[in-house]
Amino acid sequence: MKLNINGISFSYNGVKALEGITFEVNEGEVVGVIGPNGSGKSTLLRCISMILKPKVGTVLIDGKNICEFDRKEIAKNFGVVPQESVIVFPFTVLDIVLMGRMPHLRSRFGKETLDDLEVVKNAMKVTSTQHLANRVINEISGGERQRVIIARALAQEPKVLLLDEPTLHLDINHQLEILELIRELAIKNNLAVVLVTHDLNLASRYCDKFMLLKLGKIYSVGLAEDVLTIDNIRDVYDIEVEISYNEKTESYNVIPICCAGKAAYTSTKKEIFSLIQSKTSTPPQALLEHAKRQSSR
Amino acid sequence: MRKSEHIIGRYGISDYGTEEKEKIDMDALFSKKYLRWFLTIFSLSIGLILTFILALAVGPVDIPKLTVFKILFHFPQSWPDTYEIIVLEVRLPRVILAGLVGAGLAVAGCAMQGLLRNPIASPYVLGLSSGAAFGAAVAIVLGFSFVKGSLAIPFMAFIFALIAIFLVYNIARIEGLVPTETLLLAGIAVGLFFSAMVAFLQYIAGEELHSLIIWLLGGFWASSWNKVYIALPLILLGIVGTLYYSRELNLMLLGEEHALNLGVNVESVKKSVLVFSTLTTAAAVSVSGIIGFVGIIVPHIMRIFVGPDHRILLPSSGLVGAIFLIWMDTLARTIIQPTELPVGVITAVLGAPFFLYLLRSRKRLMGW
Repeated sequence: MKLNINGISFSYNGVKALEGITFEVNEGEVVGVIGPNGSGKSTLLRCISMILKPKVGTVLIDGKNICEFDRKEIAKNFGVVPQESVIVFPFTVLDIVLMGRMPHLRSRFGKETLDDLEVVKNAMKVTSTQHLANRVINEISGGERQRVIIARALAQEPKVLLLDEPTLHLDINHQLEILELIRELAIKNNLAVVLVTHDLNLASRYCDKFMLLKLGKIYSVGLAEDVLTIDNIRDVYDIEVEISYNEKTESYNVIPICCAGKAAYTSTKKEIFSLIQSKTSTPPQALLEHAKRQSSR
Repeated sequence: MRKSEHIIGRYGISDYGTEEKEKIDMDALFSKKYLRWFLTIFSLSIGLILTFILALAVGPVDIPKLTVFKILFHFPQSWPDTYEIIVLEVRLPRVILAGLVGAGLAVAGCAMQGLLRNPIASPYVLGLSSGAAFGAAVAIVLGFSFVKGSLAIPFMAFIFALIAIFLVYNIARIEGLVPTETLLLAGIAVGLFFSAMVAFLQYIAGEELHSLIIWLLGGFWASSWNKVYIALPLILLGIVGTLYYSRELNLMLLGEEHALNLGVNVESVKKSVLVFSTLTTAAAVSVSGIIGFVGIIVPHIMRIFVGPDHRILLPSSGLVGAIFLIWMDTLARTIIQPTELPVGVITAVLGAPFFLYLLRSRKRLMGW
């Protein structure tokens, strides 16, 4: 199984949002799409799942052009996990995951078959959401809800999983939990995964390949070593960073230092302190404490 | 927990400790849901049948319930001829119409609320009622209609209801897409336009004013078998057509992008649901005038009791809508005999406090 994106371009009312995006994802592979706000990450995901119809370019899955598929057929191939799912209606978790069977259902009025239920049970097992089955979707935590939405995507039995910042608004623990789950699913279920994220550190830890977007174009694509470089990040994000390698996680850590071009003013606490001192009479207690420690060092 | 392991094993198989949590029998949960649905529909159907018999028995002339039953099923005659005429010619078409209109408005209202993801949506929200009122007003005040006779008013109401929705849909359509917000706004605008026209016709109506106001209030006093024959196929078709899209409506409640990603052709579903609920509502309005409240409140009440799933919500709203409106109409025609109250007034006066009570106590279960 292979996902090919060939020269996709898209514009919103004449304003170019994507231009000539070409890349491929193999099964079991997680590709991280990174880039600043407005660089076209979410637009790219929407183009892949044909929610937006790209004006130029094709999306091929196993060599078949999905532009020719109807929505049902697309839903059988692509599972999508959106940024954040605000569901206000009191559906049970089991109902939500059963909705993932929609593209596979034959009868309009009948209930889901036992096979459908089996797929759903399995999806809930791998996402560890079984114990939530009879809970109501709007009364579980954000991390749990994101796992339920991933379970629903799996119930579609897709070949490709598209995730748009799935860890947004989650705490560090749940961020790891969700990304480990995705990593694991890619391998176990032979999924090709495209993951849009803002978190460079988590991306470098869980993705196999990276695509760095700038203003709708691919700026750099490849392995972490090639993409996550100080120069690339300065050019795309306009910030100075330090990059270190962590032996334990076997991944790169990107530490932002300051905005590029503003190097004269770095926002260390010391400098903020001096800034405050020059302006006001009583600086915050925490900063005084900090300055004391700095000077005693 | 064992989170520390996560840092070491990059590809480590994660284990979130399901064994510590209670196990849920998913099969039982699954089949219980469908059993619950079956029981709901079954008991509401029984309720509808009982309502039917009772409503036929009550009136200026009280007829024993058993006799009503016997008349309906053509038992050998053992009752005065007047009973038969009262039940079959006077009350039966009226009760059938009230049931049909109640069911139709409740289903259409429920579908519109789901489609537009808006709790204040009603079957009339897209300007349908104003369009129908304009059509009826033209027929009543100007005496103009495309057909002659007693069906002139229903026919004009039906046609202008369809015209209003057709206008709204095409105004809201931009490059093949119909955003629900635009649809709603276009509906309000077109509705206001037709309302203004109706107000103008009221102003110049003269002695026809009374009959126009009576029509606008809505009611079933002018029921006849002819109206039943017209409304029955249209409303049933509309209801069944709307039920056909129950699953799609569920997914659209989560948001259009969710629905698209789960394989729903959102735009075509919108169009179809709109067509079916318009058909239902237009038929209902044309035979009974503008009866408010049922189409907006019954779906909300049922959401509290059966949940947000349209597969159960739509049919149970339909049944409860029918039961509710038959009862309200029975009250309307018996409460201050020999005059009748407009049924719309009764539905609101009795229904609103009950709904407010539910809203205060069970808001959480409704979703919005």
